[in-house]
Amino acid sequence: MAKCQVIRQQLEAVEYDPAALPPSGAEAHLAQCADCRAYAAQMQALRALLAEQPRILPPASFDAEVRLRLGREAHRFREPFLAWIPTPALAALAVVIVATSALAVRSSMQMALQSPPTVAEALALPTLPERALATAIGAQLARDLPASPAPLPRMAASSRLGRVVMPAAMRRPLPATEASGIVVLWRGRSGERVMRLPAIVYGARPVLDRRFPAEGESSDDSVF
Amino acid sequence: MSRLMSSALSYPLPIEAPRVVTVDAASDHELIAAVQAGDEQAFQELVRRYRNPITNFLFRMLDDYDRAVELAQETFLRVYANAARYRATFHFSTYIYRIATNLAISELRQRRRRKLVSLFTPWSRHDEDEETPLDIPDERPLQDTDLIERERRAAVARAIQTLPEKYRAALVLRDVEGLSYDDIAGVLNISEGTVKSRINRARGLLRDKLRAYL
Repeated sequence: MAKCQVIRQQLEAVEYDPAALPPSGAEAHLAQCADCRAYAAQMQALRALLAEQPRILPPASFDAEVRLRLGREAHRFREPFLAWIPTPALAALAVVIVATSALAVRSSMQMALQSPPTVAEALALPTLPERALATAIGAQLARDLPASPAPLPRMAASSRLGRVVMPAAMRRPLPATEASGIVVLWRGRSGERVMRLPAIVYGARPVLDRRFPAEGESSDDSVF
Repeated sequence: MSRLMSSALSYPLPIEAPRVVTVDAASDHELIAAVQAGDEQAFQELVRRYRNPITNFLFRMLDDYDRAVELAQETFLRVYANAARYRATFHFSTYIYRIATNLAISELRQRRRRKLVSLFTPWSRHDEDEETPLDIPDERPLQDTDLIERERRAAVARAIQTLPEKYRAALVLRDVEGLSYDDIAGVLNISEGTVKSRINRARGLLRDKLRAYL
């Protein structure tokens, strides 16, 4: 059977026609193996069947339609605007642009960190005043207040209901300087947005928190 | 390839128009060089030489006449669009069959993705303005040989459609279009050994499906 497989592969490799002489080495096997002879005949019949398939011709209007489409879709064949630049040069240019942009963004961020805005500048900003204000107040307090003897553990944030929750270690009674360090940034019907400053005193970042108004407390839409 | 060239050379050569004679007698490479130089007539000659084999090949791949004709046109448009970038490393026939094969394989993949959508086609409404072709039934009794032959051809066409696309392309290029193994390797961008193996596998699958007709 293994011999049959080898012989059949040989026959197929030369597309053997049973009417012709078999390839050398297969002659003796074909003479004695009826299965392989039948296989060779079937494969020859199959090739003939495929070659006999009628040729499908395009319609008479084919050439005219190609010409029509050439005129109609001429825009597809125009050279693109930057085609005169070789592709490697374009790729290099793109890399240079991306790298320069990244460096520019990075240096501007560093400059912003090194020289935070003053409180007045932060309040004058048209959008997102909270973060800028927090940075400005933090920088001012860091200058004016003495450093803490021992740092507090890092704050953990919880995403539940959008609230930022202080960890248990932070919920101890705060010193007098910390207790007054809450700035209301925005007050509305759903509550108010406040900034806790005491953390800055201990060297941590300011935290934005959301407090809900107590019963009887007014909740207008005034913006701080 | 020899079949293609012989059909091209059998075109009657007009004596009065020397320019047409030049185009007719030119090799494919000369024609594509003329297309690169902006010679529209050379392009028309290329279309004339290859429209039949390309349409037939695409029809055997897709089993959809209208789509095969559309994609054959698209093949020639791409030849024209990329004429400036053509390099005479292969036969031109290899180049054009490669474009047609890529289009056919893309079409088959798109069809596979659209299969779910086609479930709704029985409900699609025909355009009322669309002309219905006059189909007069042939009342004469069919002869047995015609019937058998038609059935056999239909069975072969159906069996080809069941082949996986990579086997189908290799088999149609070899057994229907008559390309050499070397040319098929160029068209499919695979080695000659892989071509032989795919054709062998495709024939084996067809032999099992068409056993009744062999």
